[in-house]
Amino acid sequence: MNRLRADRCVLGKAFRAPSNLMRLSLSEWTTLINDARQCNLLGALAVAASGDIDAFPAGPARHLRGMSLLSQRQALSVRWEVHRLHEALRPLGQTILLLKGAAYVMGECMAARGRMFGDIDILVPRDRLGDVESRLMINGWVSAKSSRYDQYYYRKWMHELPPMTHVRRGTVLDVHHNILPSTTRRHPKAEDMFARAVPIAHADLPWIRVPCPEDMLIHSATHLAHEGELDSAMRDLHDIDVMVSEFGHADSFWNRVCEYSTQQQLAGPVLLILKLAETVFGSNVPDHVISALGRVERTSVGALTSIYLNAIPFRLEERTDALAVLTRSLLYIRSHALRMPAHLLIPHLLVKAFAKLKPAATDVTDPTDRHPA
Amino acid sequence: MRVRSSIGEVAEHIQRFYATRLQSPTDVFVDFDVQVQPGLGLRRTLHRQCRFLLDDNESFFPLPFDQAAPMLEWGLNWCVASRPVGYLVMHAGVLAMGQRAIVMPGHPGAGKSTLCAALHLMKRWRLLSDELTILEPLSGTVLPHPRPICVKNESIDIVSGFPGASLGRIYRDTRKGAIAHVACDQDSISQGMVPAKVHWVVFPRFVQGGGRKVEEVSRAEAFALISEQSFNRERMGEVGFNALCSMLSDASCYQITYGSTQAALDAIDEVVG
Amino acid sequence: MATEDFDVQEHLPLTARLSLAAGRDLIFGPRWSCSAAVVVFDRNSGDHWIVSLLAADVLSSMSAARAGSLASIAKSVPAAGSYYDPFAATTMVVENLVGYDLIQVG
Repeated sequence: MNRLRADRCVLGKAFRAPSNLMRLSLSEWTTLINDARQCNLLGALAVAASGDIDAFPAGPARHLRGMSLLSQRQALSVRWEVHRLHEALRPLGQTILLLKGAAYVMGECMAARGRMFGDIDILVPRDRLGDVESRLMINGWVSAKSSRYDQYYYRKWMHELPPMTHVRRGTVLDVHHNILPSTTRRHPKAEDMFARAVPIAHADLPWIRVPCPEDMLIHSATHLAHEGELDSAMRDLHDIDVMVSEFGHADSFWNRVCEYSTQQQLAGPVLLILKLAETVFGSNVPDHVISALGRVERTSVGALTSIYLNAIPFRLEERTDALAVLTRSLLYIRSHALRMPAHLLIPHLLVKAFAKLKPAATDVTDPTDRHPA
Repeated sequence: MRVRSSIGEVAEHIQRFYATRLQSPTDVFVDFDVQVQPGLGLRRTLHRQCRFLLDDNESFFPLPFDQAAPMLEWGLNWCVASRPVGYLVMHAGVLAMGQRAIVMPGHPGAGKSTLCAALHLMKRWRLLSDELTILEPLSGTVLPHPRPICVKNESIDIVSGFPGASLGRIYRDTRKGAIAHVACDQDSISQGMVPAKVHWVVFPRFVQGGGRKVEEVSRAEAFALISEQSFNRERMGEVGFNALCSMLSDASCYQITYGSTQAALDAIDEVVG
Repeated sequence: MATEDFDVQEHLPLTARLSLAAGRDLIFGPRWSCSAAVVVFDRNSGDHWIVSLLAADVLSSMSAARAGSLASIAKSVPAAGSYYDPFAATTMVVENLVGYDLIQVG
C-alpha cells in the first residue's frame, strides 16, 4: 500500500524521471506546479528539469524560471547574512557552525540549488551562548519570542535560543547549542559535529564552518524524524535525496554515516528517513547500508515508515484526508514525546493551545504588502 | 487565471468586465487559481464576510461580504505582484500608443487612476494595466494584463463623465473609501498579448488649483522614485536591477503637475510630443 | 585647508587602508548624462544606493582592486579631480561609505 501511494505521488515521479515531463498536458502541469509549490519544491523541480525548461510550454516555464531566480537571489542573501554574522561574532574568536540551508549555500552543496531559504541556523557551544547572544544584540538582532512562557520554554528545554530577528533587515537567526532538545532521550553531541566540521571556501570568513557531508545527512534525517510539523517533509526528503546523490558514490561516505549515526544512537531515525527517501524520490542508498543500520536499530522501522508515508502531504487534497490528518496528529504527539518527557509534555501543549494566536494575515487592499509566494 | 466563487456579486462582476475573455477549455495552464468565498463559521450569518484564496491558501483578513468583487480585483493585483515568475513588477499604471508605452508610477493621492482612465477613454491610449507594470527583463518590454480600472472617491464622478465610460457598482466604506471599476475597451483586451516598449516615465502630481507644469527628471532620481514602488525588485536581484536601469536608459522621465484632468492630458501631450 | 567642521584629527588619515566591506559584490548602473548620480547595487544583500559620481568612482576602483590607501584612491579616481581639494572630498565620501557598510577600514 505504501509503494502504491508513493507511486501515485506525481511530484516524486517528476523528480525520479524528469524526462517524462515533456509529455504532460497543460492541466497536468498546472497540478504539478501547484503541488511542487505547496511542498516548497518548485525551485528544486526547476533544477531537476533545467535542461528541458526551454522546451516546456510557456506557462509552466515561467513559474519554474521565476522560482529558480528567486532561489538564487535568496542564496545570495544568505551569503550576505553570514557575512554580517561573521562580522558580529568575530571578536569572540569562536567557530560558528552553520546548519541546514545556510550550510548548503556556504558549503556550495547541490542541495542549495533551487532551494528556498528562510531562517539562518547556527550552532555554537552551550557555554558561549551568553556571549553570542550579547554580540548579536549589539549588532542589531533582537529576540523574537515575546511571551515569557516562550522565552522560558526555549531557554530551559530547547536546544536553541528563541529566534532572533535583525531590526533593519528583518532576517531571522536561530542559535542552537545542540541538535535536538536536551530533554530528548538520545543526545547527539554538538562537540562531535564541531570536531568534524569543515571550513568554507571564503577567505574572509575564517570563523565559519559547515558540517561534514555525513553530519549534514544525519542532521537533516534526525531533524525530520523528530519533527512534528510534516509540511516540509517532502522538501526535507528531497534534500536527503540530493545529498545521497552528491556524496553517496563513495563507500567511505556510507561507512562514516553508519559509524557516526551508530555512535550517536541515531541509526533508527537515519534508517527511517533513508528508506522514505528511497521510496519517494528513488534515492540510491546501497542495500548494505540499510542492512547495517537495521542491525543496529532493533525496533522495526517498517511500521513507522508506513505511518510517515500515509502522513506526508504529497499534494494539496491529501492535507485534509482523514487518515492523513489522524496520522499527522499521532506523529505530532510522537515528535513531542521524543523531545520532552510526558510529565512536561501535557502542560506545554496546553499552554500553547491557549496562547495560540491567529495566523499572520495581511491586508489585501495594501499593494505594498509583501508576501512570499 | 481560474476563478471560483459561490458569491453572486462576483459572478456578475466577472460577467460585466471579463465576459469576452471567459473560456471553458479542456486543457489549459492556470497561473493563478483564485477563489472568493463567503466567510466561515459564525461569521456566515452574523457579519457576513468574504475571503480571498490563492491555491486554496488564505493569506488575507476577510472583508465585508459586500466587497467581494473589489476583493477579487485587489487579490488579483496581489497575486501578480507577489508570485515570482521572473518579471519585475512595479506599482505603476501603463498605457501605450501603438507599441510605445508610458509608465506612471503611483504614489497614493497622485491621481494615477484618474489619469489612466482619462488617457484611455479620452485619448484612446491602449490600457496595459492601471496598477501593475510588468517588465520582462529579457525583452525589456512591458506585458499587458488589461483589467478594470479601479477609481476612488471624487475620481468616480470625474471618470463617469468621460466619453464611453462604463462603470460598475460603487462600493462604499471600503478601506480606500468609495470605489468603482471602469471597463477598459475591447481593443485593449484584444491586444492583450502585444507587449510595448517604455518610452516615457511620468510621475503625476495632482495639486488642487495648481497650474500645469512639466519638468524633466534625472534618471537616477527616477530610479529612486520607482524603486519605492517596486514590489519585487529586491527579490529579482541583479536581473531586476539591470532591467530597471535598461528601461530608464531607453525612456525619458518627467514629473507633471496639474490641477485638472484637461491640464494633465495637455501635460502628457507635451511629454510625448 | 582646514575649516571648522573639517577637524583633521577626527577624520581618516590618508594612510588608512581601505577595502570593500566583506560580502559586498557591487554592480553599477549606467552613467546617465542627465544625472550627477549613479545607482549602485549589491548583488548579495540586494541593497541599492544612489551615490555621487565621486562615490561611484571610489567604489568602482575598490571593487576592482583588493585594497588601497585613502591617499592612493584619492589620487586615482577621475571624479576627485573636479574638486578643489580632492583629498578632503574623497575622505568625506569614504567616511560616508564606511557609514553605509560599503567600505571597511583596516
